[in-house]
Amino acid sequence: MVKLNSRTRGQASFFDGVLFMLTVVFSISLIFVTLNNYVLRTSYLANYLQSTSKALYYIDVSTLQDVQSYCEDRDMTPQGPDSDFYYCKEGMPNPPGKYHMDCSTLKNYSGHVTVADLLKKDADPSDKDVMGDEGKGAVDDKFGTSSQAGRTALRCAMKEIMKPFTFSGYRYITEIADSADLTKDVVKHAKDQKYASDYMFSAEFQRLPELRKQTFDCGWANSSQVLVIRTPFKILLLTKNDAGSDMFASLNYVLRTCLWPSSDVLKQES
Amino acid sequence: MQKISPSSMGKPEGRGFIGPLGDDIPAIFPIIAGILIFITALAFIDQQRAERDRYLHVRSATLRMSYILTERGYMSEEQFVDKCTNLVKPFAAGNAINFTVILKKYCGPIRYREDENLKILRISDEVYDQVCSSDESIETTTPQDRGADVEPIEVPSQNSVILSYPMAVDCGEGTRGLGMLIVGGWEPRIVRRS
Repeated sequence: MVKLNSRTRGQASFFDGVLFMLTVVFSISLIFVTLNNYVLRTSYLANYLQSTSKALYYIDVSTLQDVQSYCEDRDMTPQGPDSDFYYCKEGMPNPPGKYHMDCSTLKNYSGHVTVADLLKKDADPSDKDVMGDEGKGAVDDKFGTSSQAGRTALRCAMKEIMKPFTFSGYRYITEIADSADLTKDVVKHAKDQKYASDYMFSAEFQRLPELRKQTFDCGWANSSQVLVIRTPFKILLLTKNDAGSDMFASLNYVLRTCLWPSSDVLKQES
Repeated sequence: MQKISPSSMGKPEGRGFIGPLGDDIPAIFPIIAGILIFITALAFIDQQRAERDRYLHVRSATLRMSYILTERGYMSEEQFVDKCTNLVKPFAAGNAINFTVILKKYCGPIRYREDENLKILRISDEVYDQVCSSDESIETTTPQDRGADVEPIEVPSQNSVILSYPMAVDCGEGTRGLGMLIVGGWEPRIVRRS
């Protein structure tokens, strides 16, 4: 054991003190510069997405008829940068029938049908008699055999509402999910492309295998910065109780929106 | 034979010893330099903290102001005036910040201008906007006055926050369409673009 005299002890305590103070300074810097900034920025994003959900209850779908699709935004001229973009090429069978987005069809609705109204109709699982269990509650622009363009309305509304983020290098996906399903495998409830996302019209998405497209979910975003907001989206159904009289049943659906930086890559297929 | 300890660096123990620092004069200079750097760092951090604190105050107040305004997903003209007069203005005065809130009625696709992401609050000459501000000269700019020559409001680049939120607005004939609520807050100082 080294025996310290008064001089070495003095210097040692002095440097201990300096190191301690440096640690304190570093910690303070970290707290003020990083943590507060992060928390407040997240507050804004969370409030924006919550406002989005609230606005969908009031926006009439007919006012969205002039929204251009992501294809119309692309430069598809022969020399244009997007001339080879398969999804938007003229004459191609819009593979996506599922990713289709023709907002002009919304002009057929009266002035007082909101996005949420139409979306709830579209997601209403009581159309299962026509579509079978596979189509139960599918967000597919249909209610039974009638056309109820809830998914299109959601896609058109979200395209405009999310512009501040898509212009700033973020990607988003919004979808309807049964809150009970959220704890289960995402593959189960994402198979009908019921989402609205700018990503589905990107070149990166175009290259994905079909199964991957079908099961696309914000869980694929391999980002530590992915932000997920879920807001209640209850659907009331008129049904019958055991005694045969009418009653309302409540479906606990949620409107889920995920946001992540577009520079982040997707998770590799396992 | 004289006893020499390694710590006294060759000096006979007890002779000429003037303390742990005084005994090693050259070592004092880096130590003093270290202390000066440390004190400077502390002063710098304190300055940064104060600056940050002011920014956080503005940001936090603007966020809370936007919570008031985005309570619902829809805002009529009457509600906008009512919230502006009875809630937002007293709140801003109590928190010592300047603010301008603009409700932009797009009623269709949202059109962004190229400079929209700069520190500029622009009263649009394309769509009808409603304005609420701590600056009366901004607030009293009527829709009829607005045109290509209306000067945009440029807020200070430091300690200012501009937030935007989607909002359903009245679009005539009882329909409600897409609008944007722009909430800007900054420290009491305003610069108008020349």
